[in-house]
Amino acid sequence: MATVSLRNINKKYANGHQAIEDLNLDITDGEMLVLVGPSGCGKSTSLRMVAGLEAISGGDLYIDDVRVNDLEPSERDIAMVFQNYALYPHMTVFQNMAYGLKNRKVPKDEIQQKVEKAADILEITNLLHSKPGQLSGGQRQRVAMGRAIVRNPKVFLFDEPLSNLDAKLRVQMRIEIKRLQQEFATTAIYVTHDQVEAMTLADRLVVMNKGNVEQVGPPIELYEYPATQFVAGFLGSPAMNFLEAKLSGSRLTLPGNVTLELDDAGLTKETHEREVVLGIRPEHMEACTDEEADFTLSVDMIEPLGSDTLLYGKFPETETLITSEQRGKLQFQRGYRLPLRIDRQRCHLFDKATQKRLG
Amino acid sequence: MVENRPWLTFTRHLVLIIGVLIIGFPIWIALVASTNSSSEFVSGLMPLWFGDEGLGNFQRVLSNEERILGVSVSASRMMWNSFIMAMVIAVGKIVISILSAYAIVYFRFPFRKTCFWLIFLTLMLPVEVRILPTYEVVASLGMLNTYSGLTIPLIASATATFLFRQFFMSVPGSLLEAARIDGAGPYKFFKDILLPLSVNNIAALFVILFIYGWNQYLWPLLITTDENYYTIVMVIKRLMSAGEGNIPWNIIMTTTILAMLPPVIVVLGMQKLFVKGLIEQEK
Repeated sequence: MATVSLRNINKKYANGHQAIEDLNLDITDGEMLVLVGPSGCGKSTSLRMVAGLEAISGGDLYIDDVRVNDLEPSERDIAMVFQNYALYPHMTVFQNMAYGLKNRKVPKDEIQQKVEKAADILEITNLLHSKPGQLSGGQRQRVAMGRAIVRNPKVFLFDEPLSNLDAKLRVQMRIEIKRLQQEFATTAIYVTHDQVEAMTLADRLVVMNKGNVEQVGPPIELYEYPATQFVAGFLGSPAMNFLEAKLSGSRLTLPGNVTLELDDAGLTKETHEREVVLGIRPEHMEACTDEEADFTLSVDMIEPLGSDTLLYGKFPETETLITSEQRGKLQFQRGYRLPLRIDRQRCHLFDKATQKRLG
Repeated sequence: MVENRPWLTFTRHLVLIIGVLIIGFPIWIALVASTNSSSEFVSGLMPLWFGDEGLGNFQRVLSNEERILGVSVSASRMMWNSFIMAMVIAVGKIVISILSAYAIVYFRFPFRKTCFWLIFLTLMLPVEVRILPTYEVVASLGMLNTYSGLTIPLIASATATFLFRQFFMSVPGSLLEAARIDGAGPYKFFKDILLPLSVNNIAALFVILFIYGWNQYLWPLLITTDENYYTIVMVIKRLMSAGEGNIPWNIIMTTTILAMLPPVIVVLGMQKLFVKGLIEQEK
């Protein structure tokens, strides 16, 4: 049971590179907070600073209201699961899981009991006497989780734990991690670059970009109301389409003289024309008749996914590639001209200069 | 490559067999000579088949009661000296270099790079190059005719430090991080994680360094005048020049065979670990 607070955390490397700038986060007790972003956005660095593996250049880090900036990783009562598992190759699974307890001078019979209990939960009891080299990726992942669980720490830290697994196993382990975290009700910070993983695991999601937090909130909120163009483009697969447009009042003018009358009057009261970016998700463009259509997509590429079909083509009179997602198996040919209607309710508008959400 | 070309196979084996013969023949000669009596060599030709003096030769050399070796100490004593020298050099080199490699790879201290390059530079200064100053130092410290004089100057090793450094750098950094989170300090990390992972490398190095120490000739020749500290390798050369025209080949070869035995035993005994240490990188 623990809370974690980051107050104006900074990370500046010796070469002057500012990896993290004034990071403020509060993680409540039992919450699963997921840090997501492209590589180099500082998410891993942030996690490693919480772990104590990376020195904090500025700001304060609190675990349970105790300032832990200067504590060794082992004194912070955290457990970490690494991307490459980081199991000790010469030790058996049992020894791997017991090592942290042994160093903390836990009595032998208690270690035995704790390791066996954790192994039971993770269904790796039959592997306790194998060495990591004999295990498959998924099994190693379980052992790495086991090593974290036995210690019953205040905070779990996950550093892209699933990225070395194949797709099917990843989904399975994802569910497992969620289940375990809820069962133990342990505060957890999870770092990933995979937005599906992020969306499914997070109680709250933090989208990071270039050392800054773009937006924090429940995953669905971020998905439906992205605060910046970056968040909008990062969450969701296939990614959101962006089109440069001009907005005056509630009238939106797209390239090729496509105009949309947005009924959301709250958008802007300004009457003068304004440069904006329209964001529209692929699933929010409906196939329709020619009369109802906002524009016609000339289809260059088709990806049938079974349940859905993805269509790619350029927006009329632009070089902007548009993705459209249609339900079902559609028998389109290349070069097919598909009339599409944009869902007025689901339009996201961003200021072109600041990339911030409008309305 | 799975090919089945009989001629290629034949040639391949022929080359290998010739190679084995070239290497093996001198050893055969030595082995055979060590079992013959000295009268067999009077003709000037080496016998090619075993005689019946084998046991006697070995006993006489090992005990050296008749001073056949031209010195007052026995071959067993000299083998013991060689063994001490080889062991201390091998163990000493491994201990010192694994610790210095640990410091260089895992600790950030001032002049770390300089330290590494200094160690690396000594690669260019083998014993033979620095033999005069080293002798001077050892002599001034009163270490002539001592085991410490025989071993200490040969212990510092850049090669082994370098090898351990390369190995440590191939150990994933996350292992260190996991160990830190698990509450292992620098000493525990070294003892519990790094050392067990290095076992194969240590074994391979031990074999190489033991043979290196055992084969030392120039250095013991220089700093020992007391026969009690002679090594087995030194005495072979002395035997060659001992008799005037009448070289005791059977005694020389017996001594040679004795001098060859410990390295062979070490290599055979540690073969598995040795090969593993040279080719396998622990995942």
